[in-house]
Amino acid sequence: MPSRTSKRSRDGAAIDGKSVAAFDRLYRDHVDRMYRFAQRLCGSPDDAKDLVQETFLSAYRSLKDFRGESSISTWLYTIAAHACQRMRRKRKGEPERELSLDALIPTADGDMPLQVPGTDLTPEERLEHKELRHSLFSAVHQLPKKYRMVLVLRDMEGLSAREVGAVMGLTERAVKSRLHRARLFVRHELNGQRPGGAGPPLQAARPRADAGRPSGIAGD
Amino acid sequence: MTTRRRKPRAPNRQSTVQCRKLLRTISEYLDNDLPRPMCAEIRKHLGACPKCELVVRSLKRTINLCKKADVARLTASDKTRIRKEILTAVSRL
Ligand SMILES: [Zn+2]
Repeated sequence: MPSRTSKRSRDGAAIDGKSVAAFDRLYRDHVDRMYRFAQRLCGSPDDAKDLVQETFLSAYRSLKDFRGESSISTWLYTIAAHACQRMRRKRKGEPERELSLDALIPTADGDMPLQVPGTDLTPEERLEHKELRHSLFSAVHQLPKKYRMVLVLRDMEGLSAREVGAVMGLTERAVKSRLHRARLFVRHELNGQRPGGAGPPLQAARPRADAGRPSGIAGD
Repeated sequence: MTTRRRKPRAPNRQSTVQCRKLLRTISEYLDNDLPRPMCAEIRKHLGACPKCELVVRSLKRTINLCKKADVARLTASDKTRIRKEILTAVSRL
């Protein structure tokens, strides 16, 4: 029931109480998820906040067009992905690198496994885990954006390959191909193996009683 | 008369080719996206090839680490501020 003359902004977004209420519901339900996504994508909290603002501003404007063909979160991820591209262009981003699969596939010799702790961590291990998480974010941030987006959506946000494809306008095949490269890249970075790569090699996890786990870290 | 001798093959040459082939598909393997016969083949190779086994294990752990990697939450005051800026921007246009 439209109460009073509904105001409209120049691009046609209604700004009456009903629209604001609909927006508020969307915002309340999804802002935490979108901020999490934005941080994983952008790295810095300030950039992430800017991205969240851009995302929900665009969402407000197109809320009336949302038809429910996709889930609302897929719709928001798509808006965020576009907003991210726009903001990046504004900042005259560096050209996108391609990741060569051949360069990422470990050679038979000299590639040692990554020590990623499992569950049930001791306090010391938890500290190592914290460092590891830091290394993870730095590795993810070194990914060229189009790979980072796939990895974040699939492995961190938990979307299916099909959903990631819908968000990014890619075939499922293309998603899987990028995902594989991105994962290998991150694994490689976490191993601290890249010549001139960022970060020192990780400390080997302490051997544990139950460990049938390989020890040793590349770069030793 | 010279018999052309085959170049001696590096002992792990063949397995290296197989390893590289396998390592191209391990993401799909770990995501359960491969047909069953292929999975069986991969498991067989992994059982016999410690190097690939280690790579697969570390890739799996990388993925698990991604799944568990948490980030900070947005503070209530930031939430309010961002909402206000959006509504201001919408009404300004
Ligand atoms: Zn192998």
